[in-house]
Parts: sequence; C-alpha cells; structure tokens
Amino acid sequence: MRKRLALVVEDNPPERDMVAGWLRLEGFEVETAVDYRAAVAALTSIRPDIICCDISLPRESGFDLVEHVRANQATAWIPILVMSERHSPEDMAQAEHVGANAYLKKPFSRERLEKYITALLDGPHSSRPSVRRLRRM
Amino acid sequence: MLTAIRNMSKERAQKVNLVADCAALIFASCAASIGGGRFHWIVAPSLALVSVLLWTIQSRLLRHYDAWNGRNVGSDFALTMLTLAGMMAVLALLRPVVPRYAAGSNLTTFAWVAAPLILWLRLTTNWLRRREIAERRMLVVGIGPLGRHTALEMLEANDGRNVVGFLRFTRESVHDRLPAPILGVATEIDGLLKEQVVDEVYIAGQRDAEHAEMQKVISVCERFGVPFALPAAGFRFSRAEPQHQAATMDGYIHYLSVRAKPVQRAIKRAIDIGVSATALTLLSPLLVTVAALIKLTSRGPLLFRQARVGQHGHQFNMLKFRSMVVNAEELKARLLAQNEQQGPVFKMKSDPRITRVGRFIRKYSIDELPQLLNVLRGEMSLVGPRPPIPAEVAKYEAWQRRRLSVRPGLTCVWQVSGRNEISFEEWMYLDMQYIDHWSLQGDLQLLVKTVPVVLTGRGAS
Repeated sequence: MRKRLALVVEDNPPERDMVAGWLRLEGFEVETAVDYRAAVAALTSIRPDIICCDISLPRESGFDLVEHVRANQATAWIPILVMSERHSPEDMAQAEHVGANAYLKKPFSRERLEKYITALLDGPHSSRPSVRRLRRM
Repeated sequence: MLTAIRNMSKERAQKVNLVADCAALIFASCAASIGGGRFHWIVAPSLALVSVLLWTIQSRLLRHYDAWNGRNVGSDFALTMLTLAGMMAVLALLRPVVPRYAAGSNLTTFAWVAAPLILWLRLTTNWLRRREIAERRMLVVGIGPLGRHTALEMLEANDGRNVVGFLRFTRESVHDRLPAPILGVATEIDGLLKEQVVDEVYIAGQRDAEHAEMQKVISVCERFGVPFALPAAGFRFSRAEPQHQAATMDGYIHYLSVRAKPVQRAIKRAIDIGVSATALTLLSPLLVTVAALIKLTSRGPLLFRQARVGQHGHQFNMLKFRSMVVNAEELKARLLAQNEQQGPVFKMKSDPRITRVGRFIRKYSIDELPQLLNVLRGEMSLVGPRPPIPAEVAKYEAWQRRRLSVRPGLTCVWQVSGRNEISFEEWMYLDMQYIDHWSLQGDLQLLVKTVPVVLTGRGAS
C-alpha cells in the first residue's frame, strides 16, 4: 500500500521537526515547508493526503494558504488541519470560514494530533468531518 | 495520578473537603491535648467531638460544602476564616463551663494546627470545586462556526459555565450538530429571558450580516439587565494580539448593564461579610431567646424558608423566623372573605394566623434577622432591592426584570422611605434608580437610615 503523504507547513524548526517526526511515526511520508511560498511551490509537484499548517507564517499567513488550496481545483479536496497558538472562538470560526477542516490549539500532544489526523482521514466522512466531532474526542 | 484524583472527586470535592477538614480538626484536638508532658485521654475525644460538631453546624449554615455556592475565592476564604473564628470563640466560652473536659487542653495549639490546615484544604479543593456542577448559565446567539466554537470552548474550559442553549439568527440554518439545543430565533430573545435563568448572553454574530438582529439582542439584554458579550474583533488575524489581553480573554468583550465599579463591589461584599457576621455574633443572645420562644409557644419549625429570586433569576431560600402557625396557607383560604385590601394582595389588621411571638418579632423586624445568614452565604447583600417571589417575577415587565441584575438585599430605598404607602410602580422605579446610581457611599447611608426605622418598629408590616 502506498504510504500516505502529509505536508507540514510551519516556520518554527523545532515545532516543524516535532510534528513531522510524529507523523512519520504514524506511518506518513512527510514533506515540510517553512512558509506559504514554499508550500505553494511544493503543491505544484506533490499531492499530499493532508496539510497541517501554522497560521502565523513569516510572509503570507496560513489563512492565505488555506484559501489558495481551496481555490485551486486540483487541491481543493485536501483536508487541512490548522495548528495555532491563538485560542479564541473567533480565530477558529475564521479558520473554518476560509475552509480549514480542523483547528488544533498549540501546544498539543502527540495523542491529540493522532486523533485529529485519524478523524480527518479515516473518519466516516473523511472528506470534511465536522469539527465538533473532532473536538469531542 | 492527578487525573485519577480529579476523576475520583469530580463531583465530590466538597465531600473530600469535609472529611479532610474533620480529620484536621481531630488531629488538632490530639495536638492540643498534649500538655505538661503527657497526653490527656479525656480531652482529645471531647475536644474533637465538640469542634467537629461546631464546624459542621456552622458549615451547614454557610453552605460551605454545597456543590456550588457561587462565591468567589476571596469571599470563600474570608468565610472559612470567620467560621474558624466562630468555632474558636465558642470553644473558649465552653472552657469554664466544662472544666473537667477542658482542663489540659491547649486552645492556642488547637488554633495554630487547625487553622492553617483547614484554610490550606479549602484552597487546594477549590480548583476541584470549580470543575463541578456548571451553574453559570450562558446563552449563545448564533449557530454558525463562531457560535459553535464559542459554546465548545466554554464547555471545554470546565469553569462552571454551562450553555443553556442557542438562538439562531433568522438567516442561519442548521448544519452542524451543536452541543446544546436551539431554543428559538434571535428576535425572540425577550420571551426566552423571561422564562429561563441566563447569566450572560454571547452574541456570536457577524456585525455586517446580522447587524439589525444583533442590535435587537443588545437592546433586550440592556433592558433586562442581563450581561452580554460581543465578539472582540470580527476580523481575521494571523498574528496581531490585543495589547491588553485581559480585556478579551475569551475573544469577547463583556458588557454589564450595571456600573461595574469592581473595587467598590468587592468592598461592599467585604462589608456584607463583616457586618453580618458581627451582627449575628452580637445578636446571638436575642436570636437564641427568640428561637426558644418560637419553639416553646407554637408547634412547627423554627425557620420559615421561602423561595425567592436572587441575582440573574437564580432562586434561593430566604430565611425568616416563623411568625405564623404551620398551616397558614390553608387558613388563608378560609380567611379570604375578610380580606381588607383590594386585588391579589391579602392583608388583615389582626391576622389570626400570626402567633403571639410572631406579632412581636414582626413589629421589630426580628423575623428578618436570619437573612443575615443569606448575606453571609452570598445569596443576599445588606443593601439591595428586596428579593421578589417567583410569582411576582413572572408578572414583571421587561424593564422591571432589571431589578434582578444585582444581588438582592435586606434593605433598600423603599424600606427607609415611607414604606407601605408607595405604589408598586413607584417602588420598582425607586429600585431601578438605586441600581443605576449605585455607590458604596449611598449603601452606607441607607444602612444607617435603616437602623432607626427598624428600632422604632415604624411601618414594618
């Protein structure tokens, strides 16, 4: 079976390595990108099964990346997990408005990341699972 | 380990606290029984018995171990200290009464051992307590992503906020499963606020899309005096943070329809606790005498508990000394023919249901004194609008419901004015003026003015 591919977009190296490491332990093949432009470039050559992206990136923001992914027909179906240190309901609603599928508050544990990833990819409605279902787990 | 403890005591924090407190008292009793190089075997159990008994009685009166007493940490801490002081005072008074059991006990040691232990236990169980029964009832207006996330965040925070339900904006339709029921449409919020106890309304809407409806909700909240919160930003941020983070802790700006004055309110609460505790102590000989008289002269319970509506519509039992015979309500039906007042109010000059002791304690408002306990418990304040009965609240007009936006009190403007000869409408108006122009100074003046009114027995009926 083909290994599933994840794209991790995170500008902070330790966090990027941590998330990528956890995903590799989950059996993912992992590509990383440091910011919006690197991610957009990567998406021209790869088709990840999931995108995990930070919001506060150095140049364009994570929101811009989500919008870019959704606007592009070839990538619009990819589930996106937003990871952010912003915890207000407004931020979560904004992420949902632009098209993110789930919102993971930083800092998070490996178990929590696994749960979110599993629910996004293997849940009964794996294309766009309800965020509520994710959060209740 | 920590989660194990939390789960074990999830709904039992106060039981754990009670058992631990009693253990602390027993331990302190043992420590206090060591004197002159030996352990006094007769002192330890008697001191333990009396202190545990005193402690539990006082705690019961102050609802120390209730699931949720609505008090904040400071208030709770002060009350714990007062309870300790009260217990120590009684123990000290008992010493000369029962010398055989008290000789050899060392109350100073007792206090030094018991007080820190109990206060420490109170603080450590406090965080457990906060995770218990959700009693602050929140309403969320808006069922979009913002409303849903708002509710989920509240429930996840586990800090006593519970979501009673959602109201939806008319343009919204149900997509996702929500963690609480949808109770209606935003424009019908006034009907809902009349029926339900709501502590705060979260208006989770988008300013541009739902402007008119949000405005309507805000206006209703203001008229009812219900606190509400608006989304702090309404925009998307990828980096920026508010400079003063505390202002928008949960992403909302919170509004009150009463003047906040947090420092003055805190002082008011401190005065409430101090004055009512002192008054209860000073008046205890009178209270005990009256209690004995009530018990001796008429069959039935000592206190009359009446359901009253407190702040934000939460009901509580208001305490009074019983001044009527036990089957007063049955008798009322038979006496209705002799009613001297028009309308739904029942009033008779020589009401035969009032006992002899009752007539006296009513004249001097002594029957109201047990409400000092309500004040200590935090359900009432010394000064504030009189707490209405539920049936009365049901008939309130919208603006009159604003009376419930503050803690009810023993005395207010109306009580120190002409009393009975004021109309209901005027009375409500006076209360509203009190709420709108509240100040600590005004409260103190009202307190001072109340004393002569009570002492002369003027108009109390």
